Amino acid sequence: MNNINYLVGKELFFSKTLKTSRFCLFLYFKVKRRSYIGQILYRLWEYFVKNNILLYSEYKKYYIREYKNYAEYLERHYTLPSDLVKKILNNKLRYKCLKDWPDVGIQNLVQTPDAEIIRKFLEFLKIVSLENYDED
Amino acid sequence: MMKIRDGFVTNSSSTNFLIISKEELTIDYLMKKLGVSPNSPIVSEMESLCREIIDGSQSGVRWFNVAEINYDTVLEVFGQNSANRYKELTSIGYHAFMGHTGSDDSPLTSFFTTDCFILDERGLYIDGKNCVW
Repeated sequence: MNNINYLVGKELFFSKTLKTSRFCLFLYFKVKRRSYIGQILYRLWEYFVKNNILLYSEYKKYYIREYKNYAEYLERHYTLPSDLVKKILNNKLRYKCLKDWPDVGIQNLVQTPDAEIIRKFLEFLKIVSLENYDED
Repeated sequence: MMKIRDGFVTNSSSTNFLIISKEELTIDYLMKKLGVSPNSPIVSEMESLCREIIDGSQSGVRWFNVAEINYDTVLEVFGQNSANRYKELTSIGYHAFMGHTGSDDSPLTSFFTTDCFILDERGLYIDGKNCVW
């Protein structure tokens, strides 16, 4: 399974792993959990991960008649290029829309151009940002 | 390429802060109390935040004329709860600092500026609720 997660515009497609879990967050960044910076990192983690949807389960529950198969569901429902779908296709794939998150401060921090802390956070979550993804 | 930012867009903002600290404010002490280890991947970002907080404490608060930090000025700028903590902690030897930071500073300092919070733990009290944005 590909361990890279993809951010396509404001939509995140990812797989949950132990290494990118809340548990490992504080170990990776070497911060105290109940501290000022620990809480900021936890809010960032929530922004990217909390309230996600398990896509295969969604497909089976609501879309199994509408689309020929799971891959077609990802391509057409989320308008994803087929080569990206091939890379991310797995039954444990999750989806999170990052628009309109209520924590405005965190949203602003994420959108700050060239913020090193955000670049490092994306590295921790193994997220590759594909703002203008084009099929090759 | 133009970047379009959705969400909250604002002019520059400032926040006044109150720090009541067991020890004199240094970057190392603040880093420790804010929860980051010296070998953390984000140590340089945290150093910038701590440096800007310390610089901010030397420039004083905005919008208030504070000649001296005492119970009355803490009450005026930060309110009753912080004034009570100021009284309790300074009576056992803690140091008090007032200052301000801006949203044009480094990303973490900008976040610190626009975030509204109280941090109250052993050795450090921070009131960051007096913000205008």
